[in-house]
Amino acid sequence: MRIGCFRGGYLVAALFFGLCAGFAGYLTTHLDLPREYQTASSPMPHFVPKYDGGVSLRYAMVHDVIHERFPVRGPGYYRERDRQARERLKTLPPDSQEAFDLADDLGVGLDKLGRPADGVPILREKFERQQKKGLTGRDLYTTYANLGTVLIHANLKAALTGDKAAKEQAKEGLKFIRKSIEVNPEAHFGREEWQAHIAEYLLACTDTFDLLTKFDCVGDRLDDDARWSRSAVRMDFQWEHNTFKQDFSPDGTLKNREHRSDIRDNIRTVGVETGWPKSLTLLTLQKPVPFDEPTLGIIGMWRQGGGANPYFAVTLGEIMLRVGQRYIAWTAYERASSLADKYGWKPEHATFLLQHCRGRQREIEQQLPANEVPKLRAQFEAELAHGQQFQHDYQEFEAKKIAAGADLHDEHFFDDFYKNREPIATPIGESEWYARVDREAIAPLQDWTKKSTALLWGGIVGFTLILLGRIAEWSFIPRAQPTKN
Amino acid sequence: MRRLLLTAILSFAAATPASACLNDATLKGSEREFRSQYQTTPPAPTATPDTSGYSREILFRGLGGTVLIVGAMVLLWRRSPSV
Repeated sequence: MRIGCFRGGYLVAALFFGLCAGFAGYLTTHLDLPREYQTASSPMPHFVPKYDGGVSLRYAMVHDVIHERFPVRGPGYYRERDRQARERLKTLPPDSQEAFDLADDLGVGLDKLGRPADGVPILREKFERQQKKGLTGRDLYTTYANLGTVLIHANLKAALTGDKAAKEQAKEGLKFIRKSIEVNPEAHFGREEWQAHIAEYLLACTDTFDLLTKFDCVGDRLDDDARWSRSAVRMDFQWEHNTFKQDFSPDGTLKNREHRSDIRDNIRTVGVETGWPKSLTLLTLQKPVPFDEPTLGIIGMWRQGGGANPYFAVTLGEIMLRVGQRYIAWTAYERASSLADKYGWKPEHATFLLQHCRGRQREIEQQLPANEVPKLRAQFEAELAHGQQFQHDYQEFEAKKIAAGADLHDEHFFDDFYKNREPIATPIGESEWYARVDREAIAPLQDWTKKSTALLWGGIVGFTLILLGRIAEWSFIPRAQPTKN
Repeated sequence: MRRLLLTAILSFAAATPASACLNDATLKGSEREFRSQYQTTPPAPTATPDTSGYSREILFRGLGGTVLIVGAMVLLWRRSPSV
């Protein structure tokens, strides 16, 4: 009876193994497994600018501002332009458009020469003339933007050290910036909006001192250390498999404008993190924003405004960290460290920034290949020196041409400078794109994985069954005793 | 102390963090140049070696399964002890 039971079990097991063997045979007929796959590149969602015709962010832009890889006009240019503008103004009707434009040049030039307070009366007077002429709305945009900026520049330093009158003037500047956004919200890739937010942050720092050590100027926490693994895409899966790919041209520009906001919804957001003092009425930044918006704003301010400062550098570091750009983040912290003595108004602020940047860098280094870490600082210094040398050469060339009497408005002013020179901007690399393997390309592999897993489990179950059967057989079936003669 | 305070104020004065929205004759040219410097062309599709581990995974599982089945068969067909 017992023996019959075992034999029945063997039959079942034999059938089972027959099936497995057949399955294994089936597998062996399909040995054309692909060994490599076509990696396709998709545009990142931040390739779509916020506004039609706007600039879209590339990581190379961030890299370039950090390393000063962009042209900057020299003081000689602004001095000469100032001289020529004053001469020309003597011959123009004061309410002509050209006179208004020249007033902008004068105000901006003085700001660039480090004398923003001297630009304030020039731009105020221009504003009055425009109002008398009945100009409104967008016609006042440059006046609002320039007057707001020079008012902030002229007063912010004193405001931060407790001067109440200066703080009021800086707030007036902020109001003008807000007006410039109102009449021209799409201007200059959102610089004004971010200038306003950053000015608000700094003015708020005068009331809430620990803001400087808790948040960067867009509200990213400086004490949060668990943000490395994020990417620039908020929902990778959705971005990879959604239907927006058809909305792009091959160069990554948007074809279907109707999907602009849907696509941009996939961009990782930054800023206004836990604890950001939303209750401060001065702070109008109240919710996280797609990371490209403040990044482009800061790039624009860095290039067109006052250049490098620790607030911008550390904020770029925090943003890049949050979108998985660790190398760029490391360089941003390095740049911020070198500017630490300009952070805040107390030595403790500078010490804090230095420690923060070094801490962030250490955490990034732990995630990078060990052989690359020792090279980071030398690479950064070499590249920054390259950018600064370019700017120095550019201004030297400019000064020589001005001294030789060249026309400041000549479109080809710098043609000879660029002759036989490599472009200073970093070329756009593959890392700007979203690299992926199509689902269809990996489908055969996934199919094979399922089959091999089935085979493995078939083998495990079958082997276990037979082994148990054998053990039972050896344990319970009485063996024949050798006979004694 | 006063010197320290002055140094701190002066060092802060050198930074103009809220600078930006300056509109003058150079702006249009600078922005045009900026845009042209970052023209994007898509990278060509590249054949990427299989680094996903799929092939190795499949091989190991298949081999493991086969070895187990062969082992089970050996056990099954090994002569049972005589009764």
